[in-house]
Amino acid sequence: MSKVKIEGNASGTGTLTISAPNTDTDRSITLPDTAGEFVTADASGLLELSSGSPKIKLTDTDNTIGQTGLVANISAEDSAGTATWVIGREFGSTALKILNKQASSTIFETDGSERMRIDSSGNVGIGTDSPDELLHIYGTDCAIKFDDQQGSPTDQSLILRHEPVNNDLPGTISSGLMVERSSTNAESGTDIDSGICAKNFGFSQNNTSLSGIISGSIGEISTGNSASSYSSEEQGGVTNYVTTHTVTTGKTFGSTPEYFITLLGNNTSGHTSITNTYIKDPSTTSFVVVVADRVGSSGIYINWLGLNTA
Amino acid sequence: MNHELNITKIETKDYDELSNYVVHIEWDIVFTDDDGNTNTQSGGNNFDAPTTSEGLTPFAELTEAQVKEWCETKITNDGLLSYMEDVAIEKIAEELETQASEQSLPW
Repeated sequence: MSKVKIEGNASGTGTLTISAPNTDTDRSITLPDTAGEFVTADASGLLELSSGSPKIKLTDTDNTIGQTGLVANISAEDSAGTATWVIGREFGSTALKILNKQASSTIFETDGSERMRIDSSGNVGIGTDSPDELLHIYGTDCAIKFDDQQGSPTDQSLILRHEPVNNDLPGTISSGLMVERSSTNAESGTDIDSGICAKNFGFSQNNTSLSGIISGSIGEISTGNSASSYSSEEQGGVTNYVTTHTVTTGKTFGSTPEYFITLLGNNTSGHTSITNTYIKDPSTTSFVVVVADRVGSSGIYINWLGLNTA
Repeated sequence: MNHELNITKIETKDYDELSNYVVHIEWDIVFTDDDGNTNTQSGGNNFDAPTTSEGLTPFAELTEAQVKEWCETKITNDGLLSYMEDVAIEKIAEELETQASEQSLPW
């Protein structure tokens, strides 16, 4: 049985007010338990629950017919009384809703660092605080990993599925995955102009003993007598400068693969002045590209692909 | 296959307070096989501009051994020495094939 009962509505306003003495600089209201204070509201507006296991519980039983909006919610309002954010259950649904009512980002942090945000336009960024697509993931190493282990033989880590509405007509494109480079604004010079670019691209059975395909590129590399190291040889009154470039694959093939290369010059003279190129000393982890060049200063890019079907 | 690198040319450049920084070296390498056959090839190395003057040896105090070591390290790491050894083996073989050998008189 209550020892003391305080009821509001005595003045007809429906408000119960418990006031701290306004002559005291420490104007806080506390509710004590046996161990001390466990609910404190101080003059700064801080409401603190300080027992051993503080909890806030909202009894979510409101199913009033005709009610709209969020029920059992926690919200914040600005000085004008407009909600700035709300977390709660939407009436008539079991879904939890997190509402940022402002035209600004919602940010998720762990250990003092931002991990994910939803910006005001709805773009989701992971690893970036400025997402420029519906989902923008940025990472300095592996940004996305699809890792499907212990599944059945028919399981896949990633499925890109497309179901045509009707039988596709000849000439139409209907596929689960399409990589397209727009035909608008064709690139010029040495820029890569393609729908799919095999740069650091690979198929492998596992990460340490590779069987499959990997590719990569290196550049810009100097050839001729502007290279780090070169040898020179006179042939028919023309000096040929030979340079070597060791390419490491970054992975270890299970056995020495076949390597293929294409060279791209940084300018017309650099491209056409190359007289010979070939691969030397292929191994499971690297190979050497030998380039003979007639001119003294050229720059090249090397695109390479390693293929091992063993 | 043994080899001996000999410096033939050094080019330097001044960078702010740093004078005579070595930017280019040219050399000859003499390859000698187990039978004493030799092949000589030429080449060079380029060196990037310095990022700091700390630890640099003044030009006047450079030794031949030190400069040779720079070049040997570069051509080894760049894979050029291995290429040049292959070329030397090939050139020596070509030369031996076309070389007339002196014989003792058959009578």
